[in-house]
Amino acid sequence: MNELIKIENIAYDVVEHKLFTGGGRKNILNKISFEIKKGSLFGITGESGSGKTTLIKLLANIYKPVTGNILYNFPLIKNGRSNVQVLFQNSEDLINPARKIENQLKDIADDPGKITEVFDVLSLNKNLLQQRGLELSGGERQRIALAKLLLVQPQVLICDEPFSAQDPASKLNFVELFKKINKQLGITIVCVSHEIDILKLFVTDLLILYGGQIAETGKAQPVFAKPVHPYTNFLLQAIEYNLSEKDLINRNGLENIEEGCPFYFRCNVKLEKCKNEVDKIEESNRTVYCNNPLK
Amino acid sequence: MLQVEIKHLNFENNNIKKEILRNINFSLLPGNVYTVFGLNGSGKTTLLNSIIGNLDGRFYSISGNIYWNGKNILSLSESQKTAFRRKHVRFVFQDAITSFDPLKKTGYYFKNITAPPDEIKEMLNYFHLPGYKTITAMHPFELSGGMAQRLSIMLALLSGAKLILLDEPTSALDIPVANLLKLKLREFVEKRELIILNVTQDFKFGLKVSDQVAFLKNGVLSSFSSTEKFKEDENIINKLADLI
Repeated sequence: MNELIKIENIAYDVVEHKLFTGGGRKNILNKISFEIKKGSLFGITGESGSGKTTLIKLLANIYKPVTGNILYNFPLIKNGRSNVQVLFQNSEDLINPARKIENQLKDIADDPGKITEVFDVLSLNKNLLQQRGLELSGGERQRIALAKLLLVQPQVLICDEPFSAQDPASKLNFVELFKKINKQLGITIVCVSHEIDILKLFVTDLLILYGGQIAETGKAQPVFAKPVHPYTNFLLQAIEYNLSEKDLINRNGLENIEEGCPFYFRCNVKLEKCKNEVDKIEESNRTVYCNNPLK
Repeated sequence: MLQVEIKHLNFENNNIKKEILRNINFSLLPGNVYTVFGLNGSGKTTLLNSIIGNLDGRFYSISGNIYWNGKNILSLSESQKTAFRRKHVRFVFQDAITSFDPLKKTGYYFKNITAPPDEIKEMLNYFHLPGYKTITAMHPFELSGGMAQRLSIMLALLSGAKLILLDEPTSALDIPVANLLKLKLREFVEKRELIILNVTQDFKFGLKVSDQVAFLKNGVLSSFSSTEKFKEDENIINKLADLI
């Protein structure tokens, strides 16, 4: 079995408190099933509010799904540390500003050889070990934080928007870094980002979320080459700035549809039945949730 | 027409002396969008500020000339500079929310706009902003970063100013809205003969929206070149990353 994590029909919701209407349960994720293969570079994308961050918190066992199961093909805890490590957006805060970097890293791995190996992969200068957290630049702190996570030798590394607030050259550096970590340390990487053109450069598998449901998932190359779901097509046209005003005008699409397709309100090729049900189309290299897929 | 000739721009404070820009020469013609690409700290925002005489004279010294339709801006007095900016220039700041007075409702910023009400309503709808009545009753702290940026850009376009400076206009926008912005900027620049100068790190947006692009590196600006030649290149992002 080469799948590392298997996600079976999970859903997640939160209780919303409203003053007059009393609130209710709000669906964040619904009917999510997919699997992450060992050694893959797995990209997750979608717009703000589509449930990306909730999904990775579920994957990292921080939240528990309301229904459904997540099966891990490895022990979740190793030596008291999680086998699924997450690099959050504010990862620099993992570094204690007052302590020496060397001591902070030794808390995790006693073996200096291990530290050298990780430093080599991340192209970090060994002089940094003798410095204190506050002496490092923001970029260096982010890399040391990444080194800290890698020293745990996790099975899976999850990165939440690692490219935000970086200039284009550093983004490309990070892409190279992910490829190296994946290849040299054999760690499966899940990368969440809304920057599809950066994901395009390195991911092997892709999952596109919309309104808390999967729109399309599969091998990255065929999905990028020929999107089948109308939303995937919309996103890929958007990053090339090819959309016209007509495609963009109606954005009230995040309505909470429980049964039907969440993209219903924005879709150009919708059918009447999309309101109530969505077909699951399984092909050899992708799964699409759509009643009227693009040919 | 805007003509910029900056020989040196230095920053000096408490024995710290730094040359930020040098030998910058370009002219911008109405009806075009120009984009300057550069890394963090390369001096993009300072370039925009220097063009409209917006730098603090106690710390910055500038040698050169900047002509707006034949008039040298750098030789104007402070009050004349303010009058010039008020009439001809709109600046959309990267952190758009701080360009609004926190104590005033956003309705205040609509007062000086001479555009007909229908056009204002249409623009609000176009940029996915709340209706006129709702938004003019809001204080700036009620706006999200993206809303403030869209509102700021919209007000700049409707103001009637002929020179619009955009500092990272897509920093808080998601990709679909950036598509809308690109279409609207193209429409305005062609219809109303504006000059738009945009500084950004967003290569895709910059290439798609601009007629001409230039690169700022170590305080030196390359000459502006047409975007046509970049359009066909598949590997363009990697190549541009090397240029800055």
